[in-house]
Amino acid sequence: MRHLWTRLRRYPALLLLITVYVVSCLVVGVNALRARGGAPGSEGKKVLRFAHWQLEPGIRSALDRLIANYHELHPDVEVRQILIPEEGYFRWVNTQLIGRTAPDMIECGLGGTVAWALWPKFYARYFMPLDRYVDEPNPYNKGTPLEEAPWRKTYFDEMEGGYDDSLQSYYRVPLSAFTVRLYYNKPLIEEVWGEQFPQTYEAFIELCEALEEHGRQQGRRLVPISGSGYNFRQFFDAFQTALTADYLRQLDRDYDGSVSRIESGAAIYAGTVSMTEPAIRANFELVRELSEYFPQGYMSLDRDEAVFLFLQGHAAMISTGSWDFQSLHVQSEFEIAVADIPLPSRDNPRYGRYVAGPRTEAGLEGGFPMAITKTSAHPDEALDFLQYASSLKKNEELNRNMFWLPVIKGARPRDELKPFAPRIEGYSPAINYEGPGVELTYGQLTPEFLSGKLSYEQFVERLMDAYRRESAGGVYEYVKNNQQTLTQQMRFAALRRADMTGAAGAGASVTGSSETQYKRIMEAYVGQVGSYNNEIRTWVELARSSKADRG
Amino acid sequence: MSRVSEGPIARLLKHGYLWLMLALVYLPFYVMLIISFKDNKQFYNHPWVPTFPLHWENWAEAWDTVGVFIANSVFLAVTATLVTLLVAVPAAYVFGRYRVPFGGIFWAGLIILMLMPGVANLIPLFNLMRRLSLLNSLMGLAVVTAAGGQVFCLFVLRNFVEDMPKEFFECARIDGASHLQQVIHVVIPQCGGIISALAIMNFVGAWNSFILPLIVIRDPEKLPLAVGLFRLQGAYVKQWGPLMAAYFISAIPLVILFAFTMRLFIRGISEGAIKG
Amino acid sequence: MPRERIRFAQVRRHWSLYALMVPTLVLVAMFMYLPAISGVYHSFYRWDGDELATYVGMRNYRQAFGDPELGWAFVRVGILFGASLFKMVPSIVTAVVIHRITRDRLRYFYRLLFVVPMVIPWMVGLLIWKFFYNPVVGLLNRFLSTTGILDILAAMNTWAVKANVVESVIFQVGRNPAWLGDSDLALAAYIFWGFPWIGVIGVLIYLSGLEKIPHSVYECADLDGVGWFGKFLYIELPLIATQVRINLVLLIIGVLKGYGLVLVLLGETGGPGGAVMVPGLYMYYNAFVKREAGYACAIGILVFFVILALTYVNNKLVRVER
Repeated sequence: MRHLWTRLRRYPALLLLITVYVVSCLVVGVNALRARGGAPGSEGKKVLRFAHWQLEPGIRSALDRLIANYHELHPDVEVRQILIPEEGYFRWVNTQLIGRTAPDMIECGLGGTVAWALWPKFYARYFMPLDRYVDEPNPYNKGTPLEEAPWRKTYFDEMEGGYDDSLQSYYRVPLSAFTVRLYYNKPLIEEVWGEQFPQTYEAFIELCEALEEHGRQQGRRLVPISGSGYNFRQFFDAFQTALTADYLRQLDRDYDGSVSRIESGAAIYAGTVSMTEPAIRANFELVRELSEYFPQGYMSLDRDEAVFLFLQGHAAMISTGSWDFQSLHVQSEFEIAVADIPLPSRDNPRYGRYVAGPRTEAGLEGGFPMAITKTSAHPDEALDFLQYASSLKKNEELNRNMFWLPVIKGARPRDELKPFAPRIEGYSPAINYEGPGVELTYGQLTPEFLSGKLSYEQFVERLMDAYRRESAGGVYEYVKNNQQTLTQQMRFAALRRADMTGAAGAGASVTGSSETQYKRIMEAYVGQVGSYNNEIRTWVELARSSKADRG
Repeated sequence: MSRVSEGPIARLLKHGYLWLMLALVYLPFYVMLIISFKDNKQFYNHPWVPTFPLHWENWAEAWDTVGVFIANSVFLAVTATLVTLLVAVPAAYVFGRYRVPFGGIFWAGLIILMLMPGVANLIPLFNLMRRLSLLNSLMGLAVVTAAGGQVFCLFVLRNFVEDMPKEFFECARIDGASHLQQVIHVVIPQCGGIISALAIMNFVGAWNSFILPLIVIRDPEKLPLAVGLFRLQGAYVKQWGPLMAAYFISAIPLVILFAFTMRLFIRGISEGAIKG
Repeated sequence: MPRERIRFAQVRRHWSLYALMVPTLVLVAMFMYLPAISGVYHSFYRWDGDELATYVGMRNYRQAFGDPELGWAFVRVGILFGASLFKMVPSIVTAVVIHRITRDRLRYFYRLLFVVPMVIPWMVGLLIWKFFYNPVVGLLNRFLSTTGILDILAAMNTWAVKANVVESVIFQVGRNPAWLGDSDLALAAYIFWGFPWIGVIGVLIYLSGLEKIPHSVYECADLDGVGWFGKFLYIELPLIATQVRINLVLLIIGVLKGYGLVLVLLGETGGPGGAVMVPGLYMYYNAFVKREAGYACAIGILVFFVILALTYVNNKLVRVER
């Protein structure tokens, strides 16, 4: 041994390497142990992992506080947060689910157009249905007026945000709600415009011009509205609904009160609704006009870059949601006020004709939805934690700490968030320009149109090209996905039926009274097959008729 | 090396060019360094020059975040390198010294593997790791990296062993050495140079590994360096000071490694370059 | 040394030999062959990466051949390959210049200075450049606007548009170009990354090759009255060219396989409008985001065949020279 030592001493670098390696082994070993809940200080504890993408400052610490309170009540449980940046979030969830290493609780919903189609498929396969629990009272509501109420009825939206239509089951526990407004730099606006924020679109444009002029006078670049690809969508949606709401009657062929992607996609594809119709054209041109006042290349800016611009005083306004409230307030040095996005008034010569009204937020659903994975080692504890987080007292407290809107009836948000309260009156979205298969192209063409690279005619031409080219494939995918969902439901129904007839082992994956579940699923199945068939029929009809027109 | 006709202009040009290149190459370092001492406001207003007060706490914050990543990477890189060499050297001895039945097929397969694009294998590999319970584990990553490193190491080492004179082995065999002992006492000392160079290359490769850990590791505290930094810069509301300090800290270990081993590395590279 | 042959019959005597080989075989078979075979197998299936797999025969391959995204991805690879060749120039020039330094100590000093920054982890360099490219706070835009180069570019752009040379307006006065966010700029920005492209290993390898040139060659050249450029052209360049040609295959393979850079700089979709979507990234995107793992495997096999073909061609070229 000493021989080895003297030999080693000749190579100080090697010695250093060995020391560092040993240290790193210790670190890794300790971390590995802690991951399984076995390290000193947390022996025997049940470890729950809570994964989400809310990286806004303050969210993590607010959750930490909630978790600390929970630990006091349940010393045998340890909850850990895992924060994943938005960009790779869906891919991360994907790989975790495949690898069966998924955290116990996962926030659902992110990932762009591709993910929208895939999340519903995930629910049935990977996540625990919560139906058995939502009809029971939340134990943590004892001592409050909501003590006797079933868990789902304690939600302001009756837990719609956690309900999945195609599976007719509750899979998610929402924890907060979000609305979108316009934040503005109060001192700057007052200096340039005055106390009263513009109420109409015309006045708003004047304000933007005034801001740019102000910037020029001061010799610096002042962007009126800060935006990024991320929050531009909501901005666009507000105007889209306002200007195209009247299409609802025309496009809602199955009379269910809303226009699905298939319905509007079919209409555009078949030419029933042309993209060159004045209202639609007005929609796009209005937004393009507004784009002039955004930073250049904003569609590819990150969220935080847009926020950075605003906070540094280089942009006077920013359109984003209530989820950014705290991060903006914590970091800004000036007072921030909130306003609604102004719509064109009826007198507006170009757009007034088409304006119906603002978009309604009556159907607002709970957000920040957490689902429990089937592969979790401690599903009961996970459920318990989520019930804790969605109890009246704790949800209110959590959201007050996060500066977000709570989801439980009777919970009071912070006063500063009053402007974000959901607006009930308004119109529903009536048209969706992204038909099946066309999403990618639409996403590529829109920024080019908005930045002025394409004229509206060119934009429409290329979009319709994409419709002609991609729709068949897109509808095929849509149908395939639906088929898979239906198959999964059948599998579910079969399981429940097996449980009803007492087959062994089936009970493990079944919740709720099997008979009611079975009935519900079969009804849903029939209804869905019907509605899917209707949609496809719509599509085929329209396609056929348009082909006939074209000869 | 021409010692004649070295006009002052030529010399000026040569040195001038080199210093220009050096300035460009070192620019990121300079940038990293000065930004790491700023808070966001200083950074936005005066990005190019040092500003006072210097925010030393950025470095403490950076170390808190990055320290774990560095430990993980050290573990991963050293373990992977050790395993790779422990496995590859004996195998190179076998392939270099003898012609074994089925050896040819294996060898051809190895070459084909080198050409396969990683992603086609990635999902099946992921599934395999799942079945072996190697997911979310640095040890698992080390093993898989070692497997991946076999191809190149075997290639190079086999050539070296082939080129060694037979006498070395004959002598050892006469002295009664078994195959294993031949490896330890003949191959390793003789090929020390190239083995060191391979060790360094494997180490650096494992240090930089990104895609596989990105997919496989779930817990934030187990992330190796490349993925950890990537996650850091994905954070909303970036604090540029600590971020730059983190980058700088991440660069240091490899620099230290190279400071100690550069001579070895260069020698290994030149030997390798001859072999081509 | 010619390798000693072990016949099949002698295997039992040399069992320890096999024992030495076993770990390698196990590792490579398990973690490289098996996934590769599985990849080929799954390329004929519609697979979601998990348990759902339906046999679809050649559908994935047919889809790949008809996929314009994939076609463009290969075109981009061609462009990137050309750019990589061009990017080798600074390494070569630097190696030659260092080589020509007379004093040995200075040479060692320069060599040391150049190696150190090459040693920073790849990710750090990448993230620093991503930061440079940031349109709002990034240093490239700051530099361009404070030195006024941005205005010059904007003026050139407007002139080019008026003269109908170019269609798109990329540079405008007073607006920061989004280097990684503008579909016109993204590819160029990606190629430009790493300026001045003094490669990690490149300089060292070229240098060690150059150092083997015997003194006498230079002296002959001097006697013949060859100037410094001539020396470069006839002595140093051929040697470097052979080095380059040997590394050409690796370069091609790297460009075709690689996608880590694009993933970090531009994201999973290859940037705005998929401007830098390369085959490797397309495979990744299909496998891990769209859950079309079967299609991804099929693309992988196709890329493999392309690499195989190119390697074969390259081997022929190299052998011809010899």
